[in-house]
Amino acid sequence: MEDKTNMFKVPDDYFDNLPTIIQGKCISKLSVEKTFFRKLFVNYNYKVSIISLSILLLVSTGIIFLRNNFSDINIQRTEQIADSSYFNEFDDVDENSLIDLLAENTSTTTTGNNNLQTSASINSKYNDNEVIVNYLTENDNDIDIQEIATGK
Amino acid sequence: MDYSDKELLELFKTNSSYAFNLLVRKYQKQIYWHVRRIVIVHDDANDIVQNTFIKVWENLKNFREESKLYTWLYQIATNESINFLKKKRTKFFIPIIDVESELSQKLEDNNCFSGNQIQLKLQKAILKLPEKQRIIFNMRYFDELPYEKISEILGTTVGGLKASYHHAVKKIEKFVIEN
Repeated sequence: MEDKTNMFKVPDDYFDNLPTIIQGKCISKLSVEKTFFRKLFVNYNYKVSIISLSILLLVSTGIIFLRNNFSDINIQRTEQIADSSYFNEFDDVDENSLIDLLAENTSTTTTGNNNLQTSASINSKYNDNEVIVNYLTENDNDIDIQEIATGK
Repeated sequence: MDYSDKELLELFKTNSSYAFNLLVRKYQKQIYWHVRRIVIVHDDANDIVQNTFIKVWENLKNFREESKLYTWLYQIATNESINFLKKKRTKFFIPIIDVESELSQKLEDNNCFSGNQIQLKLQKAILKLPEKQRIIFNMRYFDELPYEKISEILGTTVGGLKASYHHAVKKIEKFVIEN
């Protein structure tokens, strides 16, 4: 085996010095690491702790702020979506049909509230209301139809 | 006094510097020659050997005694050598064949190689082999390691190693005859 390895040239005393060189490097590497940590945590202990604490505070505040902001935005967006879908349902409803519906309701409400009244008076009031509602519909008046219909 | 691996590891727990010094002295030659045959140039081999032992120093406290120290050292040295050649290729954009031919040229340098013409031809033939085949051939032929140990170090099956070695020998024979 010795004959086979001797094919390559090696500097004199290389193997005598190699362990010392390697150990020197290991120790210097260790001391570099130690000095770094010492500088960080011993010599600059006070400053480092203040800096690290403020960084931590900033980061945590940022996280909380972002989290809250995102949740608000989400709520707003959900509400917007809900509103738009709610109103979209009424896009197809015609104003006239709404008034007709109201007129029908007022007639039923009136009959329900005046059970003690005679059928003649009910019919006359119903007819009056119908006349008023028709008038308002034709003239596009802003007066509350419900109020008139209930006779308030 | 020549310490066994087990004794060295025990000693490392109580006197790490002394034990490590003994460990380097015990394995430095084997590791150096293994690396030198892969990278050819002394300065490169020197850097790799130093890095290998520094890694050993850093990780020896975590070394699990299930695997052998010798195998572990060879694994680190082999990986370091392969990574060195990879870096060399990517750094200078040199294809594989050019790295080997560059190493082959360095062999002719008087400061690098001291063997005779036949040994020089053999080294040149070895450099023509694919990287893994070259490492297997070196470990088997020069280090005279049994296939089982090479298998542990390289993580290849014994059958695969035997086939690789056989192919390597055939290629070397062919190169020597043709040149």
